[in-house]
Amino acid sequence: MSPKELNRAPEQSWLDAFDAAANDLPGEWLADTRRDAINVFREKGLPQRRLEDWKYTDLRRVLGSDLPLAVIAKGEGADPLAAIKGPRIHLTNGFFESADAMPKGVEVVSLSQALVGQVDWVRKALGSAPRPEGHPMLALNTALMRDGAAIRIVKGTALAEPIVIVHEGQAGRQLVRNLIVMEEGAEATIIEAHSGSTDAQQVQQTSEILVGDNAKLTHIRLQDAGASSVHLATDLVGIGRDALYDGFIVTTGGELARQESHIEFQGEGAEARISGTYLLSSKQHADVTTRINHAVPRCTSREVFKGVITDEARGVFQGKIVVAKDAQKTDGHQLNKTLLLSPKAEIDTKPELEIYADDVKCSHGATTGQINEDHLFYLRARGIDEATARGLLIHSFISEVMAEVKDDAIRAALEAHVTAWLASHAGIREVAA
Amino acid sequence: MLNINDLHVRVDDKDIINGLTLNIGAGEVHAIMGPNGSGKSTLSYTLAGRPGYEVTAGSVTYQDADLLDLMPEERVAKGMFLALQYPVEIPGVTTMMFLRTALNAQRGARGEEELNAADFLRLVRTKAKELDISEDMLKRPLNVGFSGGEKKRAEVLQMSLFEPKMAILDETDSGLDIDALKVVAQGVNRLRAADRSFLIITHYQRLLDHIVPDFVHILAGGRIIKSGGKELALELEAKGYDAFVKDAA
Ligand SMILES: Nc1ncnc2c1ncn2[C@@H]1O[C@H](COP(=O)(O)OP(=O)(O)OP(=O)(O)O)[C@@H](O)[C@H]1O
Ligand SMILES: [Mg+2]
Repeated sequence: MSPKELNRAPEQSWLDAFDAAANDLPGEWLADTRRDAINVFREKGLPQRRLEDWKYTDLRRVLGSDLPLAVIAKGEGADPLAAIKGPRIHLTNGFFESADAMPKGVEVVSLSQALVGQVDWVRKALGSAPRPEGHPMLALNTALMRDGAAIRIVKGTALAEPIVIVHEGQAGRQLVRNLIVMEEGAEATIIEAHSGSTDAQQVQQTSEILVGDNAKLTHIRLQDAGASSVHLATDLVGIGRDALYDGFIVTTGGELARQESHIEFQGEGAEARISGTYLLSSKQHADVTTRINHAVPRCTSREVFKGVITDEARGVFQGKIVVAKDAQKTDGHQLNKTLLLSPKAEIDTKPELEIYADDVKCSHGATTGQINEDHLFYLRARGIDEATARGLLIHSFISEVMAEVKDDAIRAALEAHVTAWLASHAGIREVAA
Repeated sequence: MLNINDLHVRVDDKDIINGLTLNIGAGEVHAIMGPNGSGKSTLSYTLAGRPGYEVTAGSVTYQDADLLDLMPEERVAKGMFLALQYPVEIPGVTTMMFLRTALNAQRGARGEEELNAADFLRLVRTKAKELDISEDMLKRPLNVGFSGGEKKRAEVLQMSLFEPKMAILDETDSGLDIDALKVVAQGVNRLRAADRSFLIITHYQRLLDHIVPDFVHILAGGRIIKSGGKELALELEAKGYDAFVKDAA
């Protein structure tokens, strides 16, 4: 064995995986794109903590370990948000397994089939969502993407029920690419629920989300991946004129997780909402990184993330709003609040505004703290025992952000998940409303 | 009812109550007056069991129990109530939900049956009306955005819901307009009973025109320097604290 092999770079197993799989990856017409992408990855390498965007989250440590690419598997019927009604799409180990019958105006195909076959709208949309340049993980996903769900909501269609994508992870490296195309004036709610076994796995999911003019997409994600999972979800969102993207993300899963949302306004008068909560325990590490790019005038963005961190877990919040020179009348609001329940819990929060226009309204804020002792005493001085009082305060802290979810049934299902988490990780009893 | 004997209290390494003795019998109303910083709120927090208020000497007996042995919530279940000088705002917890949780917690701790939603609602509405508190206020998060006077009235609403045996009111009259002062005083007077005692902390003789005390005490430098009947408050109003503080020295 040569010294070079002994001292393999953490990137090598990915490059090897690409070489081994290259001929079997779906979509011959994509071969050049894939090759270009793997070259970008080869050049950039796994993100270094020296890079500003990756200062707090070390992928080299977790992604270097050899793990085979995931294989097609049968799902075990996971559905963490079963309480929510609506047609399901099942992705198991990152492969499209099945889909329920969809209502009129909705097309759902497996990405791999679409890549092999001639699905024009997929070919047209794939790779067209706005994206950051030279992003190594995005490049890796492009090089190795194997399957996923492609969803098209036809022009003017308004869905009565949400579409739920159930992601079940079992083992291995899962490279998923989803496509959500909301045509002009379409309205839909798409929910993703990630869960999985405790076996080692590395999920790398990129979703390209195109919200057409006047369209409205509510996009909910529950990330409750298995305890030994690395879970990277990258959403690339382009928003058209007078359109709405309303995203909400609950993060409770994974050993190391990073949620990246890159949102770009492409037409005036549009609105983006991106909010959520992270609840972390033991030695979990979860990173929420958002970039909202106000590239055009008269758009509104609102972002609220609140987290509860206990044990030795660590949270990261990096929120950046960029307002381009011409993007006058921008309204951008961002807030991050974290409650630390133990002395070793940690949060790194970095809100950033980068404003080049002069007629804008932008605000950001971040707070980190423990449970307010004055609040706690006040509740106890009214006869409420300490454990219940803590529960009440933590619930009230989270309920503020849960209110960002507009649909009652969806909010109730997510709240049930939050309540269960608090009961099992923070020793908080359910509080009767 | 409440016997405080030679009480010494330290907060953040600072001795604030220095040998305070006070006995409150059942059905009595005691008023405490004293200059800013004399230790009135410290006394009330100590009685309510606020963490960080370290009793370095002395004892407090409440209804034959050692009060200092009890957790704050246990004191409340036994009928102790403190209306805070500065009630805290808690966003995210609605006033209504808080009142019900608190009332049922107290009832539960006493082995009484919990009130169901309908009975509770009826009770709150009646009490709120007596105190001129709007339904809208009850729907808002606890004390959030309440005016100073509204916060004080909300404290009195809690007192009338919980029906304590020993109520301590820390400057509940501060920040109230003249009409609200009467409403609050009526709220207190309505509760006066042979088995219920009050400790009323105030800066103003005016409140004591409405709630006539059995005893008035002057607190200075963390101890009671003079006690008397209701006329002591009038004398204090005329002479000011200085005269009494000098006398005591
Ligand atoms: N946490 C603390 N650390 C140090 N000193 C404190 C603390 N809390 C109170 N004190 C001091 O103790 C003294 C008594 O305070 P307290 O609030 O009991 O006064 P008070 O009589 O209620 O005054 P007021 O009439 O202004 O309400 C003051 O000098 C105050 O600064
Ligand atoms: Mg005071």
